[in-house]
Amino acid sequence: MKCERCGQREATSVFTQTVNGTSKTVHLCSQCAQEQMMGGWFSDFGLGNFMGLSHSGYAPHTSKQCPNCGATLEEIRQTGLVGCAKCYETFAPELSGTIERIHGASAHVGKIPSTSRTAVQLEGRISELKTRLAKAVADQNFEQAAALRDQIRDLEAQNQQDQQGKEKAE
Amino acid sequence: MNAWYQQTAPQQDVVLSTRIRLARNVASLPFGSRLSRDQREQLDTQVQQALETIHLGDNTLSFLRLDDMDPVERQALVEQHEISPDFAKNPDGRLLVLSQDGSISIMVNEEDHLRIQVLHSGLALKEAYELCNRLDDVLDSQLGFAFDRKLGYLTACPTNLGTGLRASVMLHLPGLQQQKLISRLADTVGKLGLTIRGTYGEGSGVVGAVYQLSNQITLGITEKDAMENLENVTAQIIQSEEQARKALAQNQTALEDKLWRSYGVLKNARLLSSEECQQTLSWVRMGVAMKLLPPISYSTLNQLLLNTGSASVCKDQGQLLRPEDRDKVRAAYVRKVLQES
Ligand SMILES: [Zn+2]
Ligand SMILES: [Zn+2]
Repeated sequence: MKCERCGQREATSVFTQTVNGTSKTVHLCSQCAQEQMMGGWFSDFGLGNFMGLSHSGYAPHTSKQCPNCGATLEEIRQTGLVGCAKCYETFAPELSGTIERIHGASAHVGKIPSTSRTAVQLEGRISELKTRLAKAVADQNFEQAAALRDQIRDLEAQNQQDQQGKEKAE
Repeated sequence: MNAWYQQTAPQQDVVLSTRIRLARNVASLPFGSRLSRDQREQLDTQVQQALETIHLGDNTLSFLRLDDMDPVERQALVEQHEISPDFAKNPDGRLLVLSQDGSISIMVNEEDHLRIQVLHSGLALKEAYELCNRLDDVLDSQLGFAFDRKLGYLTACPTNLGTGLRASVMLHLPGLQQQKLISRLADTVGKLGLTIRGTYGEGSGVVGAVYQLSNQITLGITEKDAMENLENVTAQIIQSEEQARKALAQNQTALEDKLWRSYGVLKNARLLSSEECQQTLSWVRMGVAMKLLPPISYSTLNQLLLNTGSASVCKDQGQLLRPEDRDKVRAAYVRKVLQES
C-alpha cells in the first residue's frame, strides 16, 4: 500500500487520530509518519473537517463581510480561521452551530482575565454555579456538588481579591 | 542551568513530558494572517516590552527573531518541541521568546498572536499550568487579550475558543504498542474528550512508541477540569502500560536479548539513523524503567531523545549534513553522552 500522505513511498505505519469520538486511520510511510508526529505535538484539529460537515448549511454565496477585517464567510471556511475578534460577532449566526459541534458546548466557563473581569460578571457566574449546585444536591450527585462548591469558593475569593485591588487603586 | 527535560518529576518511567499551551490574541489587532509585516514587528516589540518586568529567577528570557536564525537552527527547535513546524517554515516577522532552560517558549505571530507554552519533564500539569498562567496574566495586563463573556478567549481557529488551553502529555507506550492495544485506547480516550496520536507500525515502532495525549475541547470546560480529566486518564494508561510491560517480561530471555542488543547499539554504533536511534532508545528506556538494564538517568535518556533529530545533530555545523555524515555525528554524540553519564 502506498503512503496516503505523499502517495509515493510504501506505507509502513498506521496513524490514528480521534476527533470527537470518531477515529480515523491513515497509512503512512516512515518519513511522513515522522513529520506527522513532529507536527502532532503542535498541530490542532483543523476546522476544515468541522466546517466541511456543515458546508451544506451555508448559503452558497454570501456577500457578508466583517466590517473590522474584511473577512468573508467563504474565506473563513476555506482557511478554518477567522480574521479578527469581531468576526465572531459578525458571523455569530453562521459560526454558532459549528462551534457547538466542535465543543459540545456554547459558553465559556474557564478563566476570566482580570482586565475584563467585573464584579457583575463574577457574581453572575457564581449565582449560575449555585443553581447548578442546588440541582446536583437534589440529584444526590455529590461528586459534582463538591466540584461546584470548590469552583464557587474560588470565584468568591477572586471577587474579594478584585474588590480589595480596586480599593487600593482608588 | 539544567535544561527543562533534566528536571526530575513523577511518572517518568512512562510520561516523557508535559506541555501546557495557551492561545491568545491582542484584542485591538486583526488575527495572524491579516497582519502586515510592520504590525507583526510592532507586536514583537510590544511582547518583548511586556516581558521585561517579569522575574523568573536565573531563568532569563531570550528574544529571538526567527528571520535571523539558520533554517537548521529553527528545525532543531522543532525537534526539541520548542516551536511548531509551521512557525519554523515561515519565519517572516516572527519572534520566539525562549527561557534559558527551554521550559518557556512563546511563539509570537503564530496562528494566534501568542502561543504561550510551558514544558516540564514527567507528569507535572499543575506546575506547568501555574507558570503559563502567570505569563498569561503579565502579558494580558500589558497587551489586553481578546476575550468575550460567552466565547471566552477569542482565537483564530474556533477549535481553541474558550480557555485556549491545550494540555498534553507525551507518553512512552512500548508495552501497549507491542500488545497492539493502542487503537482500542484511542477509541476509549476519544469518548472521554481526549485525543491520542502517534505513529506505529506492525510490530516495531517507527518513532519509539511515543504518543501524545491531549484535551480536545476548550469551550464549556474549566482549565482545572480539563487538566484533571487528562491526569486521570493518564494515570489509567500508566497502569495499563505497566501491565503490558509485565506481560512482555513473561518471555524474559527474548525481551532481555532485545533490550541488551538495543543498549549495545546505542553504546557502540558508528552509524546511527534517526529511526534506529529512536527505536533503540525506546527499548533502552523501557529496560531501564523495568530494571532489566543498568541504570541510566531519565535526564540522560530525555537528552538523547530530544537532541538526536537530524537538525539537532547538525546544529553546530550550521547546515544540514548528508545522511551518512549525520548518522556518524549522531552515533558519536550518543556514545559520548552515555559515556559521560
Ligand atoms: Zn509518505
Ligand atoms: Zn473580522
